[in-house]
Amino acid sequence: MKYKRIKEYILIGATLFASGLNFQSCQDLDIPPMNIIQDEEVFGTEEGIMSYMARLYSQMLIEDFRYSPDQGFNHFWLRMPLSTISGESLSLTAGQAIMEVGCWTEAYKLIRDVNYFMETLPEYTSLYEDIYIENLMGEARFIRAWTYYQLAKRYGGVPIVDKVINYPQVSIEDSQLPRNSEEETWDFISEDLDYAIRYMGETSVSGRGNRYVAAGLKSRAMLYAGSIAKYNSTILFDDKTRARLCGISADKATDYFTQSVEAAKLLESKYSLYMSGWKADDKESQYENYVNLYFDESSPENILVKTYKYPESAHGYDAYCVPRQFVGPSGYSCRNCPTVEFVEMFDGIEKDENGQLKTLDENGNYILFNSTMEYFENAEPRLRGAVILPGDYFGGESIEVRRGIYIGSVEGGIPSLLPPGWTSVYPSENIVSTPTPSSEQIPYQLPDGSYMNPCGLSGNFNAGSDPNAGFFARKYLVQTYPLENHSDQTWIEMRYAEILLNRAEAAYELHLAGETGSNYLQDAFECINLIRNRAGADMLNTPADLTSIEVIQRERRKELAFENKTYWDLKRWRIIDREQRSTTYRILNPFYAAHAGKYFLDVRTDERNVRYTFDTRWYYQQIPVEEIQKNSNIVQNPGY
Amino acid sequence: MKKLIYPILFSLTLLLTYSCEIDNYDEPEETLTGEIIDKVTRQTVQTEDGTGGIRFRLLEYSWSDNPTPYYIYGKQDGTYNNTKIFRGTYNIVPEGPFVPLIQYDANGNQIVDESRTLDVKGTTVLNFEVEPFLRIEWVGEPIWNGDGTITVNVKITRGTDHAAYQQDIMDIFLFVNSNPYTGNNNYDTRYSTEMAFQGDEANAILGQTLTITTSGELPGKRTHFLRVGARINYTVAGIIRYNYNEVKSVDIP
Repeated sequence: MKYKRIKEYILIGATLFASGLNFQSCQDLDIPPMNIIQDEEVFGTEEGIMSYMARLYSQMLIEDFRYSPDQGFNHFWLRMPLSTISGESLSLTAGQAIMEVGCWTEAYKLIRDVNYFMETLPEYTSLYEDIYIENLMGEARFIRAWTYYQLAKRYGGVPIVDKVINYPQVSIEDSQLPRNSEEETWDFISEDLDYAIRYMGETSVSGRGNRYVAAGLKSRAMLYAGSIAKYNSTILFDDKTRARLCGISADKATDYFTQSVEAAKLLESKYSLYMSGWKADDKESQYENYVNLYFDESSPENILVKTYKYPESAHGYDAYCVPRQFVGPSGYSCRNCPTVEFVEMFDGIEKDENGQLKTLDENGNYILFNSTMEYFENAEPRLRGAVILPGDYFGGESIEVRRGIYIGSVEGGIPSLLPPGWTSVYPSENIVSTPTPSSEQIPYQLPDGSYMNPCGLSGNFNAGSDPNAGFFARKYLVQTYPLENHSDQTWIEMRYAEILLNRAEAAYELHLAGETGSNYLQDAFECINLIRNRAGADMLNTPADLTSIEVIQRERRKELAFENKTYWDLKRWRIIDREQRSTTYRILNPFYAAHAGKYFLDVRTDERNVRYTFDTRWYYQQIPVEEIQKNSNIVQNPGY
Repeated sequence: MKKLIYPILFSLTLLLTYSCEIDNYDEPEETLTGEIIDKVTRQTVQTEDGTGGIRFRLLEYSWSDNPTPYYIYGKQDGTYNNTKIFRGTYNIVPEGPFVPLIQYDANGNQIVDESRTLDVKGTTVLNFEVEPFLRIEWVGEPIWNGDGTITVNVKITRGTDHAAYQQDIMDIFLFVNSNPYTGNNNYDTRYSTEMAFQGDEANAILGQTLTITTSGELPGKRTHFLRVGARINYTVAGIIRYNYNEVKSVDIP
């Protein structure tokens, strides 16, 4: 009995204790969570705002060292740089033309963060000076315009979201916005940038925008929009909203090109081409100047850069793209090997009547050279600055590119090893080559008794598996190669040369359209000659030398190569499908002719026999299917 | 432990056989078949296999007013046949190298809608009559020149009077391949010949007999398949599509 009693007491006691506990916590708990940083802490201090901005910039969609068309933005892998699907270069990993992966989801996340910033900052205006707030509001618009530019150039018209949409204040149905027309999207970008140009400051710290950076983006974006109006032939309407999702009416082209020229002119005298080591009529100094342009942090040409700092933020550009003789422990190299098609665009190299590299004489025999560099000795300095030519120096070493040793007779000349255009392997007779890496090469005894490795240190050893095109991209590659994957050189996203090219192209388009308001042809002529002068290329003599838009397009492809710009240019000009139609790019294979003691250069199709075909549907990329499942008001682009 | 074995087995059986029920929906077994016919010549419209040829957009209205489009593709000879279609009510429209059956004005209003809505049940035959952008006719047979090349003669005419679909001809292409599936999607770059044009310079050859010769040197002792494709600068569903003539084969001794 007693035992039962005790049990009762315990029960009553426990009940009382529990109810006491309950009442004790019957207090208002409506305080913000302590483990989440609140708006007040972010927007209430300049440091907080700075950190918000830092995050926006770090997520900004910049096609830099951490971007590739198969992995997208802010990804370490760089197995196939964008240049390897535009025909500028080849990579072992790039086996065909592909549709770029796109950025729909991350773009809209960023847009939401920017909109949140723009809606929240005004609540804290009393804490700061007006000019500080104005600058930041302009900067937010600049980032939003940048993000919409990345969307528009991929997808055409996209839903314009200029405010934060919160659920459940806004129902799911109301948040499912349809796409705006392509024209509205570009106009929205233009408006945001006009606001940014008006309110942002004149200067900014490295890596952040200012009014001139915004103007530079405007010249870039409006040139894109004008090109779409002029060259695009894909049309898509939304049956419900009747918005023209793909394509812009051709009569808008003049307006966009004018906006591009006017925006580019705003940067005049604020930035200039990098000429610090440049000397007239001195190819060597012009070449060095062009190489240094990509490394000099104080360059007056840099408009917007993205900086890296090991170990907080590093990239693998060098690890992926070095010539083979610098290969690192993980085995990557040669992911950016320029094609012969690209090299042929430059001046100062001997070419045949079709504009192709001339490596054969009149009888169809190879021209013999004392070194692989002899053929390129008068090449335009910009080519040497952008591309490591076979036999040129890089990182204190001669970059030795040799496909093999030709041991056949040289009496009466060496005939072409393969007929033009042939994709088959080289004949095995008369050629000594090595199927294995350089460490296992068996030196070949030359007729004079000396020994030579059949293939160069950076040569194409494994026919069919190494995409060595005979060249390597030099831009941005550091001469003192750091530890693998520790690279932290700065990416130059926008430089003044691009602005000059934007201006020249837009002005020339206006000239072609018969616009006479300003002397557009003369302006284009002067811009192009500024670029050519610095590059050490052949100058245009008179404005009449600008015989077609192709002259300007070619200049742009040469100047901005390997900077993740050419692919988008080829897209907006709507010509990449013509260049990539079952196309196998050509490569350059140097051989050493043992009995002549000289070299010859064989131009042939890529030995991997990789074919590129650009699907015209990709002019407007596929919108991710899961986004359409989430929002059935989104109309898919044509053909998918 | 032994006692536990039966309950475990019992639960497992329950778990594994729980969804052993026959799917309540029949597998797709209706057939949708037909031809894309040139209104004037009454011949089928020659295209290529795959995305660059003829694509049919199917909207199934049995379940939803806002269905996700479903696509099927036609064959090279202008016919199509799909034997795995779910029974239902569909709106069907083909997209290919011919005047679009759904057209819009500059403001996005539909001005023409020749799509068809019908029940697909059993074997449903559905033909569409269209106006191809271009008609390409053989003139005589391909000629083997004996020097590793083949010369063909063709005549190209416009297939429509509709001015909005009479853009300039971009290119004319003699496609050569080692099998009958030859076209822009499948050809040998070494022997095929492309004639690319700027502006309106190709329009003068409309209605004329055009002679094209293969490129390079064709290897002997085999059969080569040839056809000519031509296209105007007009994009249908993201692709600038070719019209073709029928494939012809040439046996080389």
